[in-house]
Amino acid sequence: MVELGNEAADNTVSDPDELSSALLFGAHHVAMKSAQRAVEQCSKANQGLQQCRSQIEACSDQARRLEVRLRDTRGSAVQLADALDRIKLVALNTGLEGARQGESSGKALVAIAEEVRNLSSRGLDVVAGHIRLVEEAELEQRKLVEAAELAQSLAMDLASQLRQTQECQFEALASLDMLERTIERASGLDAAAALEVQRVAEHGQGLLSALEGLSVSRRQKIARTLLLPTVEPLLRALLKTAQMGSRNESEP
Amino acid sequence: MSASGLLVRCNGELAFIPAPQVHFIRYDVVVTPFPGREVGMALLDGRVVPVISLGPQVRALVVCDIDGETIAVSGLEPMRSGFFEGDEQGPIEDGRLVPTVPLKHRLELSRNQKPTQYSRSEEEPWLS
Repeated sequence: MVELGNEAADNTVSDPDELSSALLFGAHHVAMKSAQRAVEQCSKANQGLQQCRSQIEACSDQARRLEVRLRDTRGSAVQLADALDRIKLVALNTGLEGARQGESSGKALVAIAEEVRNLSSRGLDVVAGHIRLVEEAELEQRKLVEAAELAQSLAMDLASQLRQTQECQFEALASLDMLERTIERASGLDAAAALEVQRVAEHGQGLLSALEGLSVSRRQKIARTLLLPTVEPLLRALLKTAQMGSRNESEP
Repeated sequence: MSASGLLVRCNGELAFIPAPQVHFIRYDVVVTPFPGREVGMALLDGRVVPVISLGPQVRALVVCDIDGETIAVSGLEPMRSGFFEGDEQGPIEDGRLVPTVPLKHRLELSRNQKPTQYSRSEEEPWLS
């Protein structure tokens, strides 16, 4: 137990200022960890954003390819409409020829011409419907391209903001590093020892608050049966360490 | 009794051209206009043919024969050709007599017309 006490003495502070410094070191340590984690998260977010940007770029390319396909489709539909219109013209001219021949000899010709004209007219209506659909799809495609461009621009803004955030985090890390050295110089404590002190203080505080949470009778029972056998040697070691610290201070 | 010929739409109204007056219909013929007049010229099968305009430009050009003279008419949208229910005055569509396009009269009007004096005839309600 004495050996334990000696080990503890190496890392123990005897001055309340040193305890404050230890707490400062603890806060610094937490802040440093948080800042490092923030840098890592920022880096991950940046990677995710890059993936998003490449996906948006791919979407934009697809939309442009779609534009070409739709233009080709419209072109072929227009050609088809032209062909059907010309078939209709042939049917009209054939009907005229039949009409000139008179009802007796030209009736069959007129009947065929009328049928062909009807079919080509129906085909023209269908093609006109297709062209309308393609035009609507072209409108949607243009909106898609605009949306992709907007998303790309927003992603670029976000990337810029992320870069600025990362720079701020690096500055914070550098400042925390400087703060650590300043505390070390001011207190004479090194960060590792201070953290040990802080951990011991936190354990002590935890034990106290746990005891306060219990009822008086239970507190007494627990203190007598469980805590005293464990904590008593620790208390003795602490007192001995404190006494050794006082002797060292009184000696020149 | 039936009427034979070509049913057209002119300025949104139905009109009729009897079969003996119609030669054929052509698409996409280049018409050279005379400035200030509604008469133009077109080259059809190696022949220069006068063109009279009866409405806004459409794709079709109806080539007609008026008293042995070939003329082309623009601004008519061909609808149907063949035989139609009706009489010698013209076909009857939806219970109404479809007026015949007075091609001869129009040709004379176009020929005699001075560039600034032309006004549409009241006999041609579909041209309004």
